[in-house]
Amino acid sequence: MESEQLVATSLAHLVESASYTGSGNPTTKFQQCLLLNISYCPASEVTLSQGKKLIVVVYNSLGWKRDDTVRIPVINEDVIVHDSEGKAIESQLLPLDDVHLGLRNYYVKAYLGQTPTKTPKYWLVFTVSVPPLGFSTYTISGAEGAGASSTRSSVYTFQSREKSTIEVGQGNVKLSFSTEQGKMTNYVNSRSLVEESVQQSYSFYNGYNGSNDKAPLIPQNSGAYVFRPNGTFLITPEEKASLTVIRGPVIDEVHQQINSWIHQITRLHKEKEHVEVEFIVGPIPTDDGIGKEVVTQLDTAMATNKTFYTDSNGRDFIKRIRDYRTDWDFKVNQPVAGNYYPINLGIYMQDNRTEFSVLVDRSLGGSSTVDGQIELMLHRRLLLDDSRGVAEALNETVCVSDECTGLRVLGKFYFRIDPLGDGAKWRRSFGQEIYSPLLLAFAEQDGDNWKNSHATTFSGIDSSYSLPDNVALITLQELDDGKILIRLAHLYEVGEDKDFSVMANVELKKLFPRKKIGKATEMNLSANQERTEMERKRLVWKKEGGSSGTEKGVRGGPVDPAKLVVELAPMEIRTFLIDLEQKFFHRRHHHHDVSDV
Amino acid sequence: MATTTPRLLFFFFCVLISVADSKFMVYNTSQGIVAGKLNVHLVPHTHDDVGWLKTVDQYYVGSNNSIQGACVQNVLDSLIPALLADKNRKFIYVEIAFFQRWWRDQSDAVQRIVTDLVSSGQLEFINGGMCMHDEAATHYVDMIDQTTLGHRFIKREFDVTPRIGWQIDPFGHSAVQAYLLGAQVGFDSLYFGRIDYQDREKRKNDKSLEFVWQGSKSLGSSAEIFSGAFPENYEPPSGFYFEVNDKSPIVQDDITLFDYNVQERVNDFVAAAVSQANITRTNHIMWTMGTDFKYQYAHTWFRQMDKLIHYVNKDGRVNALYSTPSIYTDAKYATNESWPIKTGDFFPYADRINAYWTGYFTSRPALKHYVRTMSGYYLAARQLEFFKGRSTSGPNTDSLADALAIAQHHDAVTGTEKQHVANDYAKDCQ
Repeated sequence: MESEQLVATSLAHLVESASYTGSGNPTTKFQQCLLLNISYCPASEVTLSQGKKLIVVVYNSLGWKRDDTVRIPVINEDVIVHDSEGKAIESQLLPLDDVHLGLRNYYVKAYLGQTPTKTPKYWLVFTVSVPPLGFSTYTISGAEGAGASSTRSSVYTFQSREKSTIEVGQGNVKLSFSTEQGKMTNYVNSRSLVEESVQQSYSFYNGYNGSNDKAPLIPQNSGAYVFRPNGTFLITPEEKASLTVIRGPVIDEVHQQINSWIHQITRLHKEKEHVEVEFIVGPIPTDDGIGKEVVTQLDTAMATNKTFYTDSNGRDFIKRIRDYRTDWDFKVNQPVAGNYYPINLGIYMQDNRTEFSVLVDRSLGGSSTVDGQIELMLHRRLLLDDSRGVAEALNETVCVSDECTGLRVLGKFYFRIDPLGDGAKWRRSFGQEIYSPLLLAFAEQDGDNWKNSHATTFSGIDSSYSLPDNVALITLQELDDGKILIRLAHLYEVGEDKDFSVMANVELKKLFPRKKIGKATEMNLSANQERTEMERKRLVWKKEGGSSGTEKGVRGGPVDPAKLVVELAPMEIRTFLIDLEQKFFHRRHHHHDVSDV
Repeated sequence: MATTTPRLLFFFFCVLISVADSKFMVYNTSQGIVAGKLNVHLVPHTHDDVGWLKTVDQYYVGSNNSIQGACVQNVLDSLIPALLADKNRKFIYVEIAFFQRWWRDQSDAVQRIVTDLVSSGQLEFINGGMCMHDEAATHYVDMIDQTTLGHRFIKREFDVTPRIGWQIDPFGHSAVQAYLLGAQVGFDSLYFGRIDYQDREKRKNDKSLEFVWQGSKSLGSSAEIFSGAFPENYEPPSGFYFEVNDKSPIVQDDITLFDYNVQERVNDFVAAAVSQANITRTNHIMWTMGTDFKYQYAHTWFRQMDKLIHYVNKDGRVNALYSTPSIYTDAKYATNESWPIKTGDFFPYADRINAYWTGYFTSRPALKHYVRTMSGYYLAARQLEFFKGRSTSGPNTDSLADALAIAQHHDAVTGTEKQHVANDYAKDCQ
């Protein structure tokens, strides 16, 4: 992929700039692992020995400093991780389980044509701290006999017959699981004092087969477009279902094989107050001749009064009321499908004490079809077409050597429970982290000279600056005419958060510390006209009842060309074209700049 | 039946002789808006999916026609002479992923002609993103990026800015589309085809298919947009389809031939117009004259619309004109009518009982994840590209930008395309 090369080359330029002496291309060859989500990363799966070290450059595209974890497959059983300053940091090894290895080997064969030759034994997990729009460097080396090496996780498997309650979590949030039922039972946050009974389960809907429906019924199958369930079936953990608990200094995990085709890991990061759930769903069985749509449900005792909230394209949250439409007297004929809404960022519900938020890693459908419950549809495999033109059943398969099996889907969702009114901060800031995961670039280093010849940290913005907590930089791009396109987005709605639903200020000069801003022109959203021009042409329509009852909406004021401070009102996005007065990468100055950071 | 052939041949011979006497017919298509009459705005358009049953490449060149006879090159190639033939004819083009390819394939001479057609307003870019993005499974950053890519192409090549949002096919409509990708882009209005069947019935009765949409609680009326949901769909009224093989009766106005039907067709036209006027505020209605991949031979449509405009206006009961969504919007605005306010969004969408289009929110979850992953990657890659300094010769982010843009199409990230097309989108992103 061309962009992958671009990323590798750009990072090479940035790390080498400290020792950069002349023109020409950088020599550092970075590799990336775009299949890391299926546990495949040839760059990190190297045997570290005799001084051979793995360099991991961790890039953060968010406008604020970020503490997060990195998770990569490794071969060695004893490794040690050093940070940008050369200090040994805490890390944890977790066994790479058979389910993930099987998925990895099968899908690598399917995508790349070859089964991986190596088999990493562990996931290495460590906590990183990365400056805004910048990188930090972590060095992983073999650590035979040395101190401060990675902690190997403790692993314990409970059989379903054992009756006990286990608690996991090293930080403020702790989750309880019943080993007998094989499921989560309780969530408690010792800092916010929120406690809630939470049970998670999987179910599937049978896809409706309308092919035998006679008039006046209109045949309607469930298909690629249309969700039409025909009964819901709870997936109960099988008799021999076990529950494996993995604990360590960075992360605790609970692994569950829900049935023969659903596996999940529930994770608690020590420094975080949310729960991460990773699922592998599929192949969805269809040997009974029926298509199925698989959902997970999170149940609480919350009295949510038919109300829940879902995002609009990852931005504003819209209030949803079950079996109700604002604009007309709604006649319910599909009590589940008719209450489904698109989810890009998340879904949440509230009662008079708490709010329960779930965030997602991709778009999917979800609902709250019962008070106190949130449902997400994770995967669907259907055998019939739903007659809206595509004329093909949504029956995704993956083939290896001409043998095809139903698609397995690996994904994550995240949930957190907060006191009422406190959930927005997590939804907005962690939502940005989901959308912009840390970008990892790998290089190998023989010997001990990386630090001497490479910059180990970098920030593209002023080292004393970071964006306000309620603002994201959603575009920073050099256009083909040399102008810089930037967009700043306020992340909160009016009234959404008591601290952050306020006017925010961004200092443009601090975003371009090594350049002088010649001119900053505010544009419309798609940057094809000046904003003043757009506002001048705007039609003002007459509305029924005049303008009474409609809020005008608050906007940030004009930008003073001397101060170059951009005001952003709640939910405002502002777009600028910027002329920079000198070419950005002036070599002579650059040495100084990077080593300054 | 062989014995009847000589007589038939003789008969045709007579007809041909009489045709030789007829003269070149000039149709008056110059009519503009007429105050006090019901104005029927004929909006010639084609709806060209940037991938669905065929891949985007197959649609462009017209291959794999056993799946669907569709070729975007045919549309654009035949459109230009059709517009040149009569300066009153108008056309809108929407999907810039296709238009950009075609544009790059044209000679300087054709490019000059097209530039003139755009300047005169005969050819207008509407919506103007690379694709008509989905509104349920798309992230707002991707919607902005793909719209920007198309809009900046149009600005660079033609120095124009699209005025109208045209989301006629997506399966439900989002608040973000209205207030962000509509009002904040600078659009004067937003039109779409698919809303819940129960909602549509109520809006027909209340004459509220057109309204002012305030999609953002925070930005309120500062980000509102005039919006219109079509009464049925984005196609012409029944009986007014004029692709080469379409079944609708053409306007046969040669009195010397069989099947002369001018009055019948005018009556059909007036009846369809009055029926739509009964559910619409003001004396302006829009007819979306076209549908999926139509105008492969553009003359067939324009020939019939020329005649309809000519004879309907001669009849005089209603006023028919060549129009665009911009002309229609300006006409609506000029009436000074008051419009109902809409807040929230149009999800979920059902086109009839038991048919909620809520499955596609999840369909192809792996493709959806891939698109989202590439979206975040593209954002980071552009930052790094800026820090290094953009290169025109070395690797850059342009190909990822194009691939991600078409992946936002309403049959791409939605998961509602055929399997081979899904594979193609994923391959483009690599």
